[in-house]
Amino acid sequence: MSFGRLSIRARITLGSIAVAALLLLVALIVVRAQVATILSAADATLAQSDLASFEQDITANPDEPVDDPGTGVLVYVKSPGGAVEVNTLPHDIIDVVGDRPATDEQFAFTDDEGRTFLIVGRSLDTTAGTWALWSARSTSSSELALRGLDGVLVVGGIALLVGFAVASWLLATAALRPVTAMRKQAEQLEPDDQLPVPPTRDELADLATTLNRFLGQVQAASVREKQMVSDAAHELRTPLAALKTQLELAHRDEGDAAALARQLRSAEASVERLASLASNLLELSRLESHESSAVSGAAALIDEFTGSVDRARTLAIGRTVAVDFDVRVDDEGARYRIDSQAFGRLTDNLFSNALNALPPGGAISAALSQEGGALVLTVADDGPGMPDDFLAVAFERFTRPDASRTTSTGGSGLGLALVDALAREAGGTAALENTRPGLRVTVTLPKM
Amino acid sequence: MPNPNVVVVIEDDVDIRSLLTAILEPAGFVVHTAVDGSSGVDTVRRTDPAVTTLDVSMPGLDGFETARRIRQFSDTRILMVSARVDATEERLAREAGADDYLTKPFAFAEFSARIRALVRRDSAGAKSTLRIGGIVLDAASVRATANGTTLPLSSKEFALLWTLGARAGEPLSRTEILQEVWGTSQFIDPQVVDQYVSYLRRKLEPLDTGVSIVTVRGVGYRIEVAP
Repeated sequence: MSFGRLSIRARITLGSIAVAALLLLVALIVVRAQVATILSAADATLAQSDLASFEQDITANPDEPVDDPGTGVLVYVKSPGGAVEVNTLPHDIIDVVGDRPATDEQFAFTDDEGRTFLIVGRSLDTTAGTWALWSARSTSSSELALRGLDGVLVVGGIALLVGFAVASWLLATAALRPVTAMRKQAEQLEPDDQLPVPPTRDELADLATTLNRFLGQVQAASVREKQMVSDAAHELRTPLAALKTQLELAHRDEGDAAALARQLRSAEASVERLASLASNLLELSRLESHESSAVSGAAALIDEFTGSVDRARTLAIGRTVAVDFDVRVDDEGARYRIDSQAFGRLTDNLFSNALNALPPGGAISAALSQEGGALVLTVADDGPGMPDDFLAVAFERFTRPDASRTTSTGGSGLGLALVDALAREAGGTAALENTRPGLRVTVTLPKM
Repeated sequence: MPNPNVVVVIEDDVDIRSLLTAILEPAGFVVHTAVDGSSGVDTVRRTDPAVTTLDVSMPGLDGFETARRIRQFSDTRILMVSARVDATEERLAREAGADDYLTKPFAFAEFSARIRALVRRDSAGAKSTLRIGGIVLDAASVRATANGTTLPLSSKEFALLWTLGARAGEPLSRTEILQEVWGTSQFIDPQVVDQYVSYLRRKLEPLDTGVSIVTVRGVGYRIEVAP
């Protein structure tokens, strides 16, 4: 298992232990080296002081024989004449220093039995000549002390490390406890809940705030979607109910050709509404998901516009409503940020609204033009217009001038919402204006 | 040369299949149907149709792949039919070799008109501009000019002017006009012809093109070009 797959707590603890072990090791090595230096210096000082009394004696009383050393003191003194005046050194050491010329020096020596000695030499000049003095001190006590220290340091270091590991485990646990708590809260969240933000002003509070913002967006989208589905289902029921009734009536009128044809025509109108509603819903849901990044040339938009005029005229046949149009586009190569079929739906919706608003004998005049590169679509009718207070909310979904007359105008309340949404998606605007008589809708799409 | 009266309908939905047959047979076409892409490819190979209609979403071979396979051996005009309103899908369809693209739901008349347009494109082919007096019609871009300036026409107005202008001086009945411009005379109110003639007249009157549309009592309409 790799380090990255361990829990955060384990990773913090392991990391802390590694760092602490490294620091401890360095500290122990330094301490041990210092102690070893001190002990070695102490051995040298002792050996020197062993010789010091002989130096004084020889200097002060050159004619008297040299004093005997105290017990346990390892000394070797050779007169300028070559006579060994004092000798308490073991044989191995005498072999080393016996014939050595007198110098001021010190060195370590290990004998056959593995005992280590620190040997200090002195040359002492007198009127009679140069004396050679040697003393030796066993370093075994220093080594014993160092070994003792090593033991203490290793045991102490391990104890410290264990303590450190436990402490960092506990600290990491304590530090991560709020995270665990937040996870448990998140597990139990209801779809509409938010995470409680801790009162602290730390990273965790920031995380909770960020997550809540995200949750809020998701929840809002979900609410919109639910609303949309429920509105759509509601809207579909009306033309479906009408269609059902019309077909039942058609059955009843099977013997009466004229009545049957009338019922069928009404049924066709209902189906037309259903189809238009389905198209608008699809277009809106696509806009909602922002998956459209279509670009269309002015030429394709002109074709859609005139195609829409043809469709509107077909719908207008029975109603004696005239649909006139004009196209004033000089730059057919200009590009606009809208899908051409979506533009067709946009104009279809405007024509459908106008047709629904007009009494027989009414007129619709539409124009597609370019103003400073921007594409301007206007659809004007000479109908009754819209109540002024409705103009403000006309672009909202599922709104109608009079909520109680839902079926009389045949509109689904989605058409203008789609017009507005498509215009915005293209970076443009849609505007409504009562021209008394009539209504004019202007859609402006900026050139890319 | 494919059989100009043969249409192959490749469609997995039984209702739509019988509906399309019901539209096409009275219009004088011999209709062969196929229920999926691979049998559709075989049918096209066997019958060599002028036009093939193809549903985009079918089990097995989808419409795109079917179109690609048909394109490997046939020049039949392909009309793709889809339930989705989607510019990307239309582009994919055309890349796969479709000549036209129609979204469900569609009107009978619209479907019939598209089929006729595809058959016409096959037979007429070469003729891409038509001059009537001061008016020039360009079939490729569906744009018209009158005395050199742009004359904005809807596609139906354009087709009506082309139909009358191609046989200038000759009277055409409403039924003939409906068949040519709207693709059918069955599912559409003949008044639409009168309505479009009046729209065209209103556009032509202020222009000095020498073109006028004359009502032929008891028959229909004809175009007169002033000498």
